[in-house]
Amino acid sequence: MRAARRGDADAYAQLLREVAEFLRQGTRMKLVRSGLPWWDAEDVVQDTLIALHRKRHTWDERRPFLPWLRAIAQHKLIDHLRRANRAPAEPLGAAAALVAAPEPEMATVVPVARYVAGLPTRQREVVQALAVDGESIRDVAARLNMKEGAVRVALHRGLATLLARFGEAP
Amino acid sequence: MSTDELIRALAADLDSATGHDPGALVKRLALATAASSLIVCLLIVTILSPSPHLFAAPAPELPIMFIVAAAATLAAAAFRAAAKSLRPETEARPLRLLAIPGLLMLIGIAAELTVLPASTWPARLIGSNPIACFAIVALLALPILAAALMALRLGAPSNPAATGAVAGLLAGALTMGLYVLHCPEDSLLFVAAWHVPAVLLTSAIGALSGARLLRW
Repeated sequence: MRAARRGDADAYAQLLREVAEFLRQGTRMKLVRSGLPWWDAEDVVQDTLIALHRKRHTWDERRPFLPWLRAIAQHKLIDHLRRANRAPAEPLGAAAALVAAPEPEMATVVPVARYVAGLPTRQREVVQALAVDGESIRDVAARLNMKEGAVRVALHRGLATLLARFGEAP
Repeated sequence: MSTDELIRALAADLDSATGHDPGALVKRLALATAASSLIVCLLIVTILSPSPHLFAAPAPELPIMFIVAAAATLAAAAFRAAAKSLRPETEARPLRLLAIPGLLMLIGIAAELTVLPASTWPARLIGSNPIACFAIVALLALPILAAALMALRLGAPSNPAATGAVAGLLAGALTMGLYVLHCPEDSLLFVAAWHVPAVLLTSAIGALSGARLLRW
C-alpha cells in the first residue's frame, strides 16, 4: 500500500489480489452464517476492492493496514446484508440454487459488466481494453490513436461512472 | 467483469491518485469549518447589533464566559471526533461529546439559580425574544454544517449518521459561541432553554443528512 501511494501500479495490483484472496474465504463463511448464498462473496469482495480504491486516501501510513481493511470490508458486508434483507431472493431462485449450484467460474462474473456496456463509447473502449484485455496504456493509446494522458482521463472518467453506478446498485 | 479485470482497471487508475492522506483530510475539514465560521461571524457582526454584555467593564460577564467555555469545549471535542471518523476503523459517538460541555452548563445554571431570587427565574428563562434567538442560531449553524459535511464526504465514516450528528454538534457549538457577539440575553438559563435546543436540532439535521450524504 505504501508503494501504491508512491504510484507503483504493479505493487498495488499485487496488493489488491492478495486482499481479494484474503477476503474471499472469510466473506463466504460470514455470508453462509447469515443464511445467504456463498457465491455472493465475489460481489462483496469486488465492492470492497472498489471502496478500498475510492477511499485509499483515508488510510494513515503510520497505522496498521489490516484494521483499516477490515473496517472497509465490514462496511461493505453490512451493506450487502442490508440489501439482501430488503429484497429477499424469490423462493424460486433459492430452490433453483439448491438444485443446481452455479459453476465456480460463474461466481466471478458479476453485474459490473452490465454497467460497462452503459458507458460512452470511448470510455467503454478504454476500460474494456485495459481491464478486460489487459493491454498497457501505451498500446491502447497507439491503437485508439489517443494521447496517453487522454487514455488515462478516459479510464478515470469511465471508472468513476462505473464505480458510482456500482455503488448505488440495488 | 471478473475480479482480476477489476483489479487491473483499479491498478491502471492509480495514477489519478487523489494525493490525499488522512492528515490532508483533517486540514481540509479544519479549513472548511474555519472559513464558514468566519462567514457566520461576519454575518452576526454586520447584520445584528452587538451584545450589550460583551463590553461590560472590566471583563465580559461571568455567564457569557460560561457560554463561550461550554461552546468551545463542545466544538473542540466535536472537531476531534469528526476528524477521527474520517477513517473507517473508528466510530463517531456523538452523545459522549455532550458530557463536559453539559456539565459546565449545569454548574453555571446551578450558580445562576442560587444567586438570583426565584421570582426572576421565569423572566430570565423566557428573555425578550426567545423564538428569534432559537431560529437565528439554528439557521446560522447551517452553512457551517454544510461546509463540514462537504469536507467529511472525502472520508470514509463507518457510521455516516453518527458522523453527521457530530458535524451538527460542531456547527451548532461554533454558532452558539459566536452568537454571544449579538445575544441580548446574559442568562445561562435562557441559553440552555433556547440555544442548546437549536444546537441539538442542528445535530439532528446533521445526522439525517449525514446518513445520505456521507454514504460510501
